[in-house]
Amino acid sequence: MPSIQSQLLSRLADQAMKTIFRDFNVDKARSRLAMIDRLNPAPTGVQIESRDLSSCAAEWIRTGRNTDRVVMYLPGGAWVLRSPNTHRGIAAKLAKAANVDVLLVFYRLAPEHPFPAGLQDCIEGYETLLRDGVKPSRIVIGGDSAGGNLALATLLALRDGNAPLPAGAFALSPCTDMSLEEGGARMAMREFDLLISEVEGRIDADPRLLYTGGNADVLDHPYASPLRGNLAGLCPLLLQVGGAEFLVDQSTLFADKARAAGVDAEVEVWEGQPHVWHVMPFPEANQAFDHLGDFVRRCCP
Amino acid sequence: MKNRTHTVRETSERYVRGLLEDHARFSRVLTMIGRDARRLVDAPSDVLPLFAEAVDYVVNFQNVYHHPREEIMFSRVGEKSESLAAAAKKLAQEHGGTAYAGKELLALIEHVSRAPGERAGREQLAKGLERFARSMRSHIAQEEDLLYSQVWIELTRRDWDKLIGQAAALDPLDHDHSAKYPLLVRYVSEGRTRSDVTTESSPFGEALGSAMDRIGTLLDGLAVIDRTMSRQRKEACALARKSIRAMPIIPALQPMDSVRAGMQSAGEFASAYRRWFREWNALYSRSDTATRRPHA
Repeated sequence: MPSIQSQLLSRLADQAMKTIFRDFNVDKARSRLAMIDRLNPAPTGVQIESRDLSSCAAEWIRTGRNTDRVVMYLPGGAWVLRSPNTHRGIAAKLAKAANVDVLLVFYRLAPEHPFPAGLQDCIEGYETLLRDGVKPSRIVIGGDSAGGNLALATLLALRDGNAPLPAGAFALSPCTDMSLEEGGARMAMREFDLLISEVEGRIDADPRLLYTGGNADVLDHPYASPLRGNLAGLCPLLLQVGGAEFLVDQSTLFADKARAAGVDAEVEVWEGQPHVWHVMPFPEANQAFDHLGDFVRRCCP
Repeated sequence: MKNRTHTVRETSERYVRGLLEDHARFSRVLTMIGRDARRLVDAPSDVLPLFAEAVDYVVNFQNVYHHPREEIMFSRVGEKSESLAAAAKKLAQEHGGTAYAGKELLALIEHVSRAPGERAGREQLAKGLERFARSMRSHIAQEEDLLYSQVWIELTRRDWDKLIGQAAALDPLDHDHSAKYPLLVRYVSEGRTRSDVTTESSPFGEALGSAMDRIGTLLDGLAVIDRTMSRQRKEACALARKSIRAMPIIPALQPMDSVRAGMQSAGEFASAYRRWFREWNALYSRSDTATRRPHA
């Protein structure tokens, strides 16, 4: 049974999301999200430093603790939206829970920069860490929602390029298959999950097609839909997904496929939680960060 | 001198790495507690034996192997560095607290296994386990932040040689202890693909959750009605417009022509009125600005 806070705030979040995605249009959604993001206070107890990459911005979120562990975090936002304060908050919680410094990579967004621009920025973020002298064994990659998709796609691209893989990777409520064909939860959650109920089927506004530049063929590419790729040889993975979101099947299928390919993959299905509940002040969010901290500590002892 | 420092660092890193790997093992157990503690309340027989092994492992392994190695190190650090002495002392004292809490949990597990039907005991155990996991996480984070990162600076080669000599015990989980902890060894070695995580609930929370669900259903229902009415209104308007456009102009329907002509006139009138209003407004604005100027 989800906590009282979770049940109350999930409803509010649902209304906020409906407001953002109402009459979906990228410009309107961005300005609505910016308004909501302004209400989010900047995280306390961390230092934020700019660290620009060649084609996008990035930020270090540091707790000031003595640590050589690094998490490269990729914020979500349906590949087209961004709410920096919200993700600074996630990065700060993660930094505290896992005793790490977090590099928040603000990869380029669609539709201005369609696939694979965002993915290239994520790879560049990882390469920058290596160039800065961070060992792969001290790096964990993670992201939420679209950022989770990019985190998994980055792993596939690094493996295919014979680059050293990070020590682990996690994805929070990730979209692992853009074609959205897999999974019975998609229909079961149709009425609850606005990610599909509000925007699906509108070719001019579907974020997936905006991300792929209108090219539906790209949806099947493993770097866009990691579930469709070969998952052998990946690093340990942790997926966390809410039990009340339609992406739940995508996460469990991904973990099953990864485990069948010999990867140490786990998925946590959190009862009654909405999409990326980590951003909310729920007890469940804090517990989820505790588990992420445990995971990072396991990957980078 | 440089080589000597490097060797000291390598030695210290090896020692500290071993302790960090212990923390990594504990983290796996702590995650298990976080995921499954609530299952103790509803299905104790599924997880109670595993928890009994997990707590026994954490308490015994820490007491026998991990904490003594840390305490040797902390005590040397405390002697060498005044700034770290207080933190070293506090963290070493917390080991005693962890051992006590672990033994209490073991007693509670024993009690619950003897009286499995007692829900209050199971809830107390679940809460105790979660509290234990929280305090261990916080303790581990402080150790890593405050002391582990500093020890190689503070301790000499001789200190490390002494420490390594003192710490010769074995990790019970790594060295054929599958007979003592069979469930835990299996859990750690096999892992699980999927874990369903449930969290603490209360009667008030459940009642509120149920009420929220009903309100949510009502809101969803109202939204559906709203969408349906809006769609039907649009469809009705479109149908009316289509019917009017399709209406044949025949002499018998002279009144309709009059209506059309009237509507057209009304439209022209409205356009003229808007035009006049804009001009008048522009004029008024100018004169208003002028009148606001003093003595203009």
